[in-house]
Amino acid sequence: MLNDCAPGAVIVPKPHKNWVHWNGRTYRDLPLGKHGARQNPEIQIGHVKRMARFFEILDCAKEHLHLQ
Amino acid sequence: MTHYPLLFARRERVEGNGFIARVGVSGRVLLTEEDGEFWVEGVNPGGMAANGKSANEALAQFCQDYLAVLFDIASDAKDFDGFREEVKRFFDDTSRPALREWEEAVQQVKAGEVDAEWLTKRPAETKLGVEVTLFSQPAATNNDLGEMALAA
Repeated sequence: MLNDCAPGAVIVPKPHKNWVHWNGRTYRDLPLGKHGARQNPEIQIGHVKRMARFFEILDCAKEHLHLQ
Repeated sequence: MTHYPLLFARRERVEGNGFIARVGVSGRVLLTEEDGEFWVEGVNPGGMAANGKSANEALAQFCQDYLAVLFDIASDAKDFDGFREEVKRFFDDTSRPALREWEEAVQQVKAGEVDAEWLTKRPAETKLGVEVTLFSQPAATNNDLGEMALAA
């Protein structure tokens, strides 16, 4: 989803959260997932939706993630 | 879907690399009930959200997540100035979609269409900001439980 809706976005694992940098902004609260820090963790869809809202890419994200 | 516009006040003490900082925030969050669960999105600070089965659970998780973000910022900061700069950037990274809904929700509160009896009401125009100071003088008067209030 990020590749298509936020090209160039970078996920940076931190000790407690994943940070996502894109377009000069940072989403700092993406959960690490149940297996700890990883580049592609399994994350509750609601968190991804809030991140997409923050980056103002929700319409694009909905198409990719089949969100309502 | 009901939106509740909340004011978020906290004072935290955070240890960094060679410093202890106090972070006092007066911010805005949007509480939403959606599909049987509650979500809290940061307006200022933006770029964070938490959920729970109840409003209280979601708000408690948001406070925990907020502290976790401050800890992550502290772990990266080389010194106090770097920490303060990044905390201010975090606070100023406004969530524009959440802000629009927050402002609409304030109008609904003022019109009496939305209420949250379990929360104190504060003026929506309450001054916002984040203050990051070096912690050097311990005093009981520094202790602060913080508050969530309904913006009205």
